[in-house]
Amino acid sequence: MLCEKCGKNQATSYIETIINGDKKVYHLCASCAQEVMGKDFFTSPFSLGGFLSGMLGDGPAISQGSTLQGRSAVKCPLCGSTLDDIRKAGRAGCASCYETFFDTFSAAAKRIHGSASHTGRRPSRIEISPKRRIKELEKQLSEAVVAQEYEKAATIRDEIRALKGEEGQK
Amino acid sequence: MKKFNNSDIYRDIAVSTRVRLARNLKDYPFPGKASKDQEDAVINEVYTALSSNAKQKKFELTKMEGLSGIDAMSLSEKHMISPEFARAKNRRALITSQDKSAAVMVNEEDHIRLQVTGAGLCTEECLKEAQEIDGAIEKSVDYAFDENLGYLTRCPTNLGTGIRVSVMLHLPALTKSGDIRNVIAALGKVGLAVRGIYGEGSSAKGDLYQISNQLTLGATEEEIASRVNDAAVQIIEREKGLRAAVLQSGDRDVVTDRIWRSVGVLRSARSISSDEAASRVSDLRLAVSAGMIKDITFDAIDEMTSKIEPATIESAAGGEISPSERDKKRAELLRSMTRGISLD
Repeated sequence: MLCEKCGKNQATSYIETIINGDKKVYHLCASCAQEVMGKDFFTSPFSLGGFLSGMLGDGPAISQGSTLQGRSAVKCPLCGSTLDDIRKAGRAGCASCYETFFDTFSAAAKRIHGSASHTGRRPSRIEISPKRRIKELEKQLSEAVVAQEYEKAATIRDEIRALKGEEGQK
Repeated sequence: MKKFNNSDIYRDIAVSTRVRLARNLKDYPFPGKASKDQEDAVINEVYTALSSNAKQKKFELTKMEGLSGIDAMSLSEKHMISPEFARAKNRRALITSQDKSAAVMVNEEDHIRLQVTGAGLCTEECLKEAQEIDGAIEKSVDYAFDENLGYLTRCPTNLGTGIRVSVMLHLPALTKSGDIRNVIAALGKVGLAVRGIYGEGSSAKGDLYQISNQLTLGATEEEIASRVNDAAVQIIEREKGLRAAVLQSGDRDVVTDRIWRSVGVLRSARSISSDEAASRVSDLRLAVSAGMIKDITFDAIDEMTSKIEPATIESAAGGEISPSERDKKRAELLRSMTRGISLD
């Protein structure tokens, strides 16, 4: 039997894939088998890259009033990627891309994860913004109230007040 | 594989647990977009951070360029690195802890892919250790982070926590009954994925499956780890129930006969393919779990599973060998590793 991919060499490898319960069988020659192992082959015809491009595809314009032409001219200051580059790759070029094209990525995050609001761990070197800290404290406050830990609740409440005072002064 | 406390509970079905964190350095373009010098600088920064801040552990740096293709593939078969990382080795480095429980791939898809692996079901322990190492790196490195999007990763599917918690389960009964399809469908609905043993979508060799979270943004690391843990426990209980039912049914003799034949093959074969070996070893695992065989441990079976992979055999043989030669070596390895099992 000839290789199903190149159609030239004798098929020597038998590859069976089960993706989400869907079984497929492929007969490949040694070089094609080596080439495709773990690559997009297993996810084709629905490749991850294409899927992500779609997710990043029709995001909102980066700023109001910007035309399509204006958008493609914007480049990330650190790596030089344009929005088109990112869409083609389905991936960001660097951390600054996220800042430059924040709205697009934020919309993509909502589509992929159903959320664009991180609640997990954060680097201790990055200072938490007062707004975010107040949000966290408010969560802790309601938890303390539910648990009837009133002393703890009072301390948290005072901290929230102090932070809100600071915010107001700015 | 490292053993954490409690990792013996469910050890007969839960083979291993892995927690992976994706991180990037703020000031460098992501791998692929970075220049050669920048990629080298990333390796340097990460290794220096680990060796100076995580003093309780010893770390070893391996430049991937220095490894042969076979040795790199063997590391991927042992799940120390991804298959993708083994294929393109330029300016990539692997940093491992001395006890091999922690491995940091530098310049994979992200600057840092940090993983901690343990035997059995131990999501909490792996997460804790991964976070300790993450904290040690972060002491002297500026991570790419955004208040709303969390840790910034090259691919938006990893944003937020950048975490992937996965548990490898041995599910022969669910596989043979076909119920695994229902499990896969149910998990998909709660944002969890099921894959075959070799990561991104390969077949379920040896009835081994990997359960992992798909979503990384919106929940905390602890919530994600406990979701995967709870799903794994449910699947384990279902697998146990099915096994018990089979062993009480009329199929008992058929299954018992198959298991003993497999043990016979492992103990006596002179040449065996990778696929046949995987299925025979799966039977052996089942036999130990059912208490039919007591002369071999799960640790030994895990070791066997990784030693009989193609590149690992070649790596041990010191270079490329023909497939038929490999099948012979595999049979040799299996015979010597199952020698202690009595056939009576």
